[in-house]
Amino acid sequence: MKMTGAQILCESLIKEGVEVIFGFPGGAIILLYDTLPQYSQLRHILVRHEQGAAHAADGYARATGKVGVCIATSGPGATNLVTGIANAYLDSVPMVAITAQVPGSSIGKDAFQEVDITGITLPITKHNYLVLDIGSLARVVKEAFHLARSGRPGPILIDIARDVFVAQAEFHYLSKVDLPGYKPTLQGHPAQIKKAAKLINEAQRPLIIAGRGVIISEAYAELNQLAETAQIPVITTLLGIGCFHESHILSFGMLGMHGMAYANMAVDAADAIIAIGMRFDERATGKVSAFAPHASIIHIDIDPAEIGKNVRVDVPIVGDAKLVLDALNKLVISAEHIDWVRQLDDWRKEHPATAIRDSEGLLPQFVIRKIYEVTKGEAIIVTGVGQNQMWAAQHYWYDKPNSLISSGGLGTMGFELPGAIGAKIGCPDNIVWCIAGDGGFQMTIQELATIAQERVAVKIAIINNGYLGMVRQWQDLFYKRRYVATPLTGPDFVKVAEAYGIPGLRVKRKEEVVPAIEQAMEEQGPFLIDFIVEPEENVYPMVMPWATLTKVLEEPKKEVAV
Amino acid sequence: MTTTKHILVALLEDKPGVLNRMANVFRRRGFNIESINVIDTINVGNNELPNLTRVTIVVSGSKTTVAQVKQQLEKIVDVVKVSDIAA
Repeated sequence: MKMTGAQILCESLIKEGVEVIFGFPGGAIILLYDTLPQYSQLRHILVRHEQGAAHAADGYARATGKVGVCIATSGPGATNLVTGIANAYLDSVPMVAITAQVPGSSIGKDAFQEVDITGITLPITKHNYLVLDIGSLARVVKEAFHLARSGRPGPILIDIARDVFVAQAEFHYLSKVDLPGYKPTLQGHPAQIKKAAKLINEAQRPLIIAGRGVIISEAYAELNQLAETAQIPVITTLLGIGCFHESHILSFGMLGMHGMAYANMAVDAADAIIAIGMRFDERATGKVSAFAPHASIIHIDIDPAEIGKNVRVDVPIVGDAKLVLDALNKLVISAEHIDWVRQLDDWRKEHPATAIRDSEGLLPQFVIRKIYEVTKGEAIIVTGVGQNQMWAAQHYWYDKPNSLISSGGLGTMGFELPGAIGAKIGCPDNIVWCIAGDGGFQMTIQELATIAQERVAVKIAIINNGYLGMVRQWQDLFYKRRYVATPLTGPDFVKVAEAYGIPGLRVKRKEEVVPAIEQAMEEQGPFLIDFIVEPEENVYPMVMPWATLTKVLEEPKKEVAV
Repeated sequence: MTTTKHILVALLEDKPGVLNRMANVFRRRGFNIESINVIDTINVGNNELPNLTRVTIVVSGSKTTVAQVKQQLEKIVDVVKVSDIAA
């Protein structure tokens, strides 16, 4: 039986296990929308801006581990996806973005709403396709999903000419893909694994740096076994948070610019570093030439192009983290490293970065900590970018993978709200908190309408300091407090929420924090809390930009237990 | 680091835009392509490599940066293989 291109696309999506599509209609893609009602298995979530569709698909993918799907029309619909696609690319998130293109006969003629979206997204997709012929459509979808979720995951864009949606063809879905140029290495090289094991077994001060690759390959048990067998302290990158229980005695927090001082000191003192599924981003390493000066570095990553890209590596192992660690664990002998672990513990006592000082006003750190306490650490936290993100990383403890969802690589303000929508739709049984800044929240605030229309029960905490806080912090520390373009007037967020039919509260005092969070949790649907916090609170500790990790700025402050 | 001349030989699937994808890697790395030659393998009588295109690129760079470029090129889905034949 012949089917239209739109039907073939829907059938193919169902074959790939797609259940939810985030999108926004338009002229070129109207034929796909016209076909959607025939497929009740495909739930469509109407966003208010295509960027929201891409971020929601991203949040959905991170929360569920499945491929996120977003769709948009040609021209501005497609270009509005760009930030969301780049965000997924930088954080290795499996995503398939589908855009409609003007008819094949009009391509290259500057037709209405025509844009070269495959050209535009070339450097921000793992791969992309322009489909001009219905005969290739099913194969392209098959390949796209395979590429998105395998190897190092990433976004794939499929641009489909309008006439392909109406053309007719038989539907055959291939069981296998034929991509001669794409063969990710999964098993690590045995000789390299042997070398790594020798290095670990001989190390006096070994340290594991775990990244998002551990989460992607679900190598939690293997990581745990390696850490416990040889008593190796574990620190994580921002995106690695949750891959190792943060309450584990061998867990020493996050490294990097706003990482824990003791984690950064450990990097500096270590004699062997086992870096797993991380890419030595400059926010994590500080000054690269001074990174881990005493350590031999073992780098485990599935992407060969990451090896030696940023730091020198002594033992590279290309492969899937789970498989490599499994092989490595067979060769690593049990060890104690008592003095080393004690040293890290001492550093942690001397530099208690997660303590919150006593204050008159409402501190943002205090808000995050209370959300942790009320949710018992079981929520999925989706953050914005900047101060709110760093406080959420520092003052909430994550014991489950994918419980912190954050834009790491691209640092996209405005990710939080649509990202949280995607996470909640993917995990309806989980509590999802969106931690936003008052700046980033206004970038995608229109998605409150999506929340209202789809009744997405996201809990929103706005950390409202009246500034673009992280930039203000840099102006404070490095530009003599010249606050240029960072003071920020926002709307009355509670009234805005109310206008969308979403209940909300404003909180200004410490004693109101817990009752407000409890009220949000009791509410069946979405809820917004506007926390008016200390306006000029800075994020500490802080490593000076591009300085070595040991140049940590800590504010002299009175520590109290909370 | 010493800069030397390298000849990168890449085998590609004959797909639209693949040359653009390769050129993009050089552009981002700020590499100057000294010469580039593109030929269908069928035209050189190689029956073992049907439907592939061979691209020969001459670049100058340090051993490590050229190795990085080679890895970035191999990351392109339509690129089957890259060899650095002269260093």
